[in-house]
Amino acid sequence: MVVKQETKSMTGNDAASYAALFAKPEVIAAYPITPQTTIVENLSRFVDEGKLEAEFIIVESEHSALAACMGAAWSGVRTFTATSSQGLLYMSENVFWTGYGRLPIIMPVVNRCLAPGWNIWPDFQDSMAFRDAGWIQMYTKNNQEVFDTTLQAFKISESKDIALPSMPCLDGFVISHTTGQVDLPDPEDAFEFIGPYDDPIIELDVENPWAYGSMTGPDQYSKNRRDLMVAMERAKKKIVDVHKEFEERFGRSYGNGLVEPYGDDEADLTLVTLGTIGDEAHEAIDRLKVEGHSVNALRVRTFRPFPVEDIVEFAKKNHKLVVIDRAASFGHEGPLRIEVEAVLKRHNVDTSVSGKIMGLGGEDVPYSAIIDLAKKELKE
Amino acid sequence: MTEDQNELLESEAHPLDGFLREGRIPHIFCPGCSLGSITNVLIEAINESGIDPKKVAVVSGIGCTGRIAGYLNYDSFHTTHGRPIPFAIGLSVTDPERKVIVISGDGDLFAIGGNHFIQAARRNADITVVCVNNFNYGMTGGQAGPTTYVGQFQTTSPYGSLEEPFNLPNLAATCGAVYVARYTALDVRRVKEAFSEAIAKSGFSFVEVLGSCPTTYGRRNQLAEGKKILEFFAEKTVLNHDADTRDIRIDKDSPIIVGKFVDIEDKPTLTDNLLALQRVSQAKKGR
Ligand SMILES: Cc1ncc(C[n+]2csc(CCOP(=O)(O)OP(=O)(O)O)c2C)c(N)n1
Ligand code: SF4
Ligand SMILES: [Mg+2]
Repeated sequence: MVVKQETKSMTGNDAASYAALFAKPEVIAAYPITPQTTIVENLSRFVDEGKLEAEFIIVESEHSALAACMGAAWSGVRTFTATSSQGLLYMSENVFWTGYGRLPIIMPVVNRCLAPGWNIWPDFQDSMAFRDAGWIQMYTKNNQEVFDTTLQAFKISESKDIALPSMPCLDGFVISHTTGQVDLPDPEDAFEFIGPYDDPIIELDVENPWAYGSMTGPDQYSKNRRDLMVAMERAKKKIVDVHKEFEERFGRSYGNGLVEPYGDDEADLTLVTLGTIGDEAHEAIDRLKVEGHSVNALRVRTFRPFPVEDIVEFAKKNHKLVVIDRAASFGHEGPLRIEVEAVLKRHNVDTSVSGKIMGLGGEDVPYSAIIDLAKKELKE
Repeated sequence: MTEDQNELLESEAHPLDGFLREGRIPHIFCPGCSLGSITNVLIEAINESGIDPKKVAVVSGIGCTGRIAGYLNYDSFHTTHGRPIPFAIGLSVTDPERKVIVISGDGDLFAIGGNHFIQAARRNADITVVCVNNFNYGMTGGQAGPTTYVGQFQTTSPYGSLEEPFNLPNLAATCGAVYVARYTALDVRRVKEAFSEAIAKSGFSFVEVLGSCPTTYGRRNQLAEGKKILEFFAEKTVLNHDADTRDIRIDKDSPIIVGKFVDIEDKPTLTDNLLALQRVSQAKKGR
């Protein structure tokens, strides 16, 4: 049965902080950076108001923010931080440590482009740089999904068979600072959904002391990395299961949790997207339909682990994919396009793939631009 | 006011024309912020130093203060948050004739970039570092930082900060800086003098300028106008060049001790040592 929820209006950053509030992390460490700052500012206020019993640690940099979370996670408590852009880059050593160390830290990344050319507007270059860091990455399309995904992330990451950190991604400003509708459950219902973190993956234990992070020879090292690969595979199923359970309890879903299709099952052209461009694509598709064009969409919600099977299935039923990337792998193409193409090739699907990089550094991507792209692709 | 002065005020020309990048103006600074007057005297000090402008590089990190470099018509660099000092060292060792000036905020230089400051001072890197200390992270909305004094209200210290701040001149002096001064943004004449002296120095020179930030510091501390902050500085400032830097910490009720606290000659700089190392290495190899 779907639980009672109350419709509120709030920004995407508010939505992320409510999810964290309801999850009751015991340690939060953070450093300010636009457009992330208000997530942790909200949380510090919740702590101050007595709504959240957590240690809120103010640190002198992002590198320290994640380091403090790592220490806390290793002591066996639920841990949260958030960052953006240069802050994420500055954390990078510890981002990899967290992923490879299998620490289930939850860290929303408010997507913002990278310097030089200082600019606070969104693109996905920041989180894409951490594709290989061993984190679960999910890209959201609106404020509601930010709340839902952040809540789900705790349940996914903290499962003993997964033990991976999660990076829910939200477009800077377009989501983070824009007010939208969010249906909030009661805090108790939200907490019950993820449950307490009382059987932690790792826990300090004086009776049974462990030495962490020691020198590791090639055999054990490669085994550890292979374990991580397998855990990512398991995470795919876990994400689907948790998403399903979430739907049963809260009545909302995003495709199967890995990918979200839109429009007809089969169309002349399929738009493959990430993040808010996925939402904007709906408008474009509806308008194209009125004009008699057959276009559908597949929004990749989970980018890591990569939903290979779902993409293959969808591509098989369709004729032409155009992948819209909001980041570039310089010297190659957009990262999503590269991966989609590779997957289809490996599975002998001959649906054609093209791509376009749009929206870098906050360049606006309105439905009209998507319509233009679709019409051009339909002609070719 | 004389006729002449009136004319100057109405003139189309600004005395600093040519030293500012016009395409970057208007600047982002809030009304009442002291960063404008600090930029002004920095340019004047550079001008009067007689150094060829082509040999001047100004480096900033990120923050409101960090924006200064981008407005100046010298080689100017707006680097990453916390890294202007190592960046400046790279610039300075590639041309010992080049005068490299770092100007950045308290957060940039002493929170996220703190390690670089102490290492550069220890090694006597041949750069001038100016910190505009406005007691908070202005650009990101007024969080408390490492120079926020005890009892100061910021977004992250809503009950008044409890932590001991850095005493910047003392930190610089104990780490080995050859020139250390502190003045408030009210006293632009002395700020300029300090900039001139610091620029003329070889080795690691440091000037702390206490800046007025009405927007994110002032509003939370009953000093909501730039003028009020300057008045607050005026009331509290005591000039004492001979002060022991250990005794000049700032807190809510203490006087603000300003002056030139350190001015040492003849200490080998990082560049000197790098060159000496080359000589030793070549001599050992009989070259
Ligand atoms: C790695 C990184 N983390 C965080 C930020 C966000 N940020 C920009 S300016 C700033 C603080 C600046 O404070 P300060 O140096 O005191 O300069 P002020 O604005 O007060 O002059 C922060 C945290 C960033 N740009 N890069
Ligand atoms: S926030 Fe403060 S430091 Fe930044 S421009 Fe405004 S007054 Fe100046
Ligand atoms: Mg500051």
